[in-house]
Amino acid sequence: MSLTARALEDAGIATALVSVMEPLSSAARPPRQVIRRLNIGATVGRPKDLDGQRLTLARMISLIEEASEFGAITRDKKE
Amino acid sequence: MTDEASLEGWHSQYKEWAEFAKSLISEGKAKEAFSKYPWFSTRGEPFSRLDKPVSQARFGLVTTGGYSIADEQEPMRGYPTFGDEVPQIRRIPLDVDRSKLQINHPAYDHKYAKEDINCNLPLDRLSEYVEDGTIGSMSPVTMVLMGLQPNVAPLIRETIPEIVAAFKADDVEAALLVPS
Repeated sequence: MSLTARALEDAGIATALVSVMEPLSSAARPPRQVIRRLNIGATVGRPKDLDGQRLTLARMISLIEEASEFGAITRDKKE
Repeated sequence: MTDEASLEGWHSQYKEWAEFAKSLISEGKAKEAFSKYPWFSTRGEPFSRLDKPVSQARFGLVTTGGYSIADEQEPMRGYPTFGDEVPQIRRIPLDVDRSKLQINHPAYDHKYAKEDINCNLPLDRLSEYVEDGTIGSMSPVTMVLMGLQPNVAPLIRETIPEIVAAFKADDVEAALLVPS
C-alpha cells in the first residue's frame, strides 16, 4: 500500500495511509501515515465505533491538509 | 514512475527468495520464509500538497481488503502467487449493496468487517464527511486490492499505474489508503 501511496503522490495526488503495523508500512516509506493501535481487519476502527472510525479518517484528512513534508506521521498517544 | 527504477536490482533477489520460500511455505513455515524476504527499498520522496482546502477536494479510497461483489464480479484470487501474475483490482461503487460484498482475502480475520464494513471499507463514514462538508466529494468508485503481494514488480509496473490513471481520470486530488 505504501508503494501505491508513493505513485499517487508522484502523479500529484496527496495521500494518507493508515497503518496498524508501522514497521511493515514504513519499510517502503509512504509520504504520510496515521499510525493507530487497532487490529488488522479493523484498521479504520472497531465495529460500530463510529467515533473511532471518524477519528482515524479525520486524522488522515488532517494530515493531507496540514503535512508540509514527506514522511509525516501521526501516532496515537501512549496510554 | 518513482519506484520502477528500483526494481532492476530487487527483482533478481526476489526470484532467488521465491524459490527458497516456496518449499518452506509448502511445509507451513511461512514465518521462516518471510524472515528472509528481500524488502523492497524505495528511493526519492514523492510528495504532493493540495492547493485547496480538503472541504473542496475530491477524495478517492483504496483498500487492500480483498473485496468483490457477489454475483457481479469474479472473486479476487486468494493467496498471491510467487510468479509474475498481475495483482487484481476490483472497483466497488460507493452506493454498492453492502450485503453483496464478499471478502476474498484469506489472511486477516473477517469478523470485524462482517459486523461493520466500515472497519476497513469506510464508505458510510466518508459519505457522511461529504454530506457534512468536511471533504468536497468522493470518487464514486473505491479501488480494491489484495494485500500480501510479495512480488512488487507487477504491482508497480501494472496495477498501481491503473489505479493512478483511474483516479486522475476522475479528477481525484487526495487519496485515503486503508490496508488490511
